[in-house]
Amino acid sequence: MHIEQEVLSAAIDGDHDAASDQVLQGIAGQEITRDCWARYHLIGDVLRDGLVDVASKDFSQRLRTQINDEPTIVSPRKRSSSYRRPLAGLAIAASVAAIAIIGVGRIAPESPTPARIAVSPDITLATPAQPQFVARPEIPPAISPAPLVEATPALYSQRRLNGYLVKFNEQRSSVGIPGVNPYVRIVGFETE
Amino acid sequence: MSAIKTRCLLCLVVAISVPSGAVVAQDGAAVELMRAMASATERLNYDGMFIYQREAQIDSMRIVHKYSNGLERERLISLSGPEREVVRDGARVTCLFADDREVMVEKTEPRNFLALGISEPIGNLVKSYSFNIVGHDRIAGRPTSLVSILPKQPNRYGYQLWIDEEFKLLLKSVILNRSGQLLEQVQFVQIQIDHEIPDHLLATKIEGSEFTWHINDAADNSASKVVETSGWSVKWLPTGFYMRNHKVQSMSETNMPVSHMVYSDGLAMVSIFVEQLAESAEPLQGYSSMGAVNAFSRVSNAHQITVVGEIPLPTVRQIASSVEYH
Repeated sequence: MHIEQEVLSAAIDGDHDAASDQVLQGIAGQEITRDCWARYHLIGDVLRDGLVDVASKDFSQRLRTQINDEPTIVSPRKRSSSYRRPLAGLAIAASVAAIAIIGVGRIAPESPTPARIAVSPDITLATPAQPQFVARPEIPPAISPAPLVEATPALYSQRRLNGYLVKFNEQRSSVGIPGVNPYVRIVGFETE
Repeated sequence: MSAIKTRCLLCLVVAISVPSGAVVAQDGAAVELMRAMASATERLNYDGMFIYQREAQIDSMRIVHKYSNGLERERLISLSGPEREVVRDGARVTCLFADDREVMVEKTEPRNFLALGISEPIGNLVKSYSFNIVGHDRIAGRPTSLVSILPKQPNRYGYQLWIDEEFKLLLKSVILNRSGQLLEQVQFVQIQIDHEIPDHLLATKIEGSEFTWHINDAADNSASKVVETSGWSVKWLPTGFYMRNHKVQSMSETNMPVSHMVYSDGLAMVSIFVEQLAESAEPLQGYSSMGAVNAFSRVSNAHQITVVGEIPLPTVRQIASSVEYH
């Protein structure tokens, strides 16, 4: 630490002698020393747990200036909760698919129970806010996309979707990247 | 992991900056490694535990796989959440769900590795993706090569595969969207490869004697049913997608026939279903997603059209929109 800073630190702690007084007077007019003085007082306040919650006026001013000078960053919009709803929708479909993959439509005659009706009625297929779709650039402009319609939440439709998902997964086991076991999606369904 | 990402980026930059011939060679080396992976997946004995993640959901599972006398046997066990198992013995698949007290048995099509998209000529694959071996990593305590598969168009997903350097088995895979966001991940945390697998490890421990059994050992008999789908055509597909399969199947709920068209670019797959709607049937319209799987449904000319694919939702929707009757 520089000799002047040591004197400053000692003075703030009330631990200085006459010789230090002379140094203090000599450096009192220097701007850098005033900054040190303020900083050491701040450190001392923190150490003594005496820091007030309100930031200094100077700090607030500098922060405001820096914020104004910051460039505006356009970040990707976070997925809204409405987009997450369908995730649950097909996840539940997968859970039913887990059963349906074994052929719900051909239940053994002696079975007294229906194959499986495990779709939570409160899980619905929601449609996200339209801009999330129409703004996507990967849609080729040549063919206008089908209008967005809110997915039918009915149980029957869920089962129909399950059937499609099962048939997709069956094919997935022989088409595409090998090694990714298609039944993993079936076993690991969400339990919500 | 950041080091790996940095290495990936560096390799990517190198791949872009080197002459095109070298890139093709790189593509070829990566695809050959993936073909070796396909064979290893089928032919090796292995027993390991892995995590399966999609979105915020993480499940842990164990897989036991045995290959003997040309026959694959496999047992997939959930280690978290509900007690569930899928046991595959050749073409016979049995699913046991202790939470639902149900057992389902079905005879499915055997896996035909010759039909795997990975057997696609490399000339077709490189039209849609760039393949690079971008580095090395350690998964489940084993050294792996990391293969990066980047789509050349935004209408499909990217993949990263960590392939065991000794046995060529896939130890980790992720599916990424165009923003690099992880959609699905499978990663082994422990695995034994090429060990003797005793038969008892392939037998389920779930006692199913009091469960409800649903058995369907019959072959799909719906092919003989009449379904009018010949007038339907798919007007738009992403470049590089070709039909791999087309069959008439039976919808399990209604036993109604549905036309199932399977398209693939060699890696990604999409199913297109066209089914005549009964008057009383409630149509399915809209979309749904789970991890990397997206679906979009619409109704046209009294038919239910549903597209399910491991491709981005806008692509799925665009394909569904292009299915027309004429």
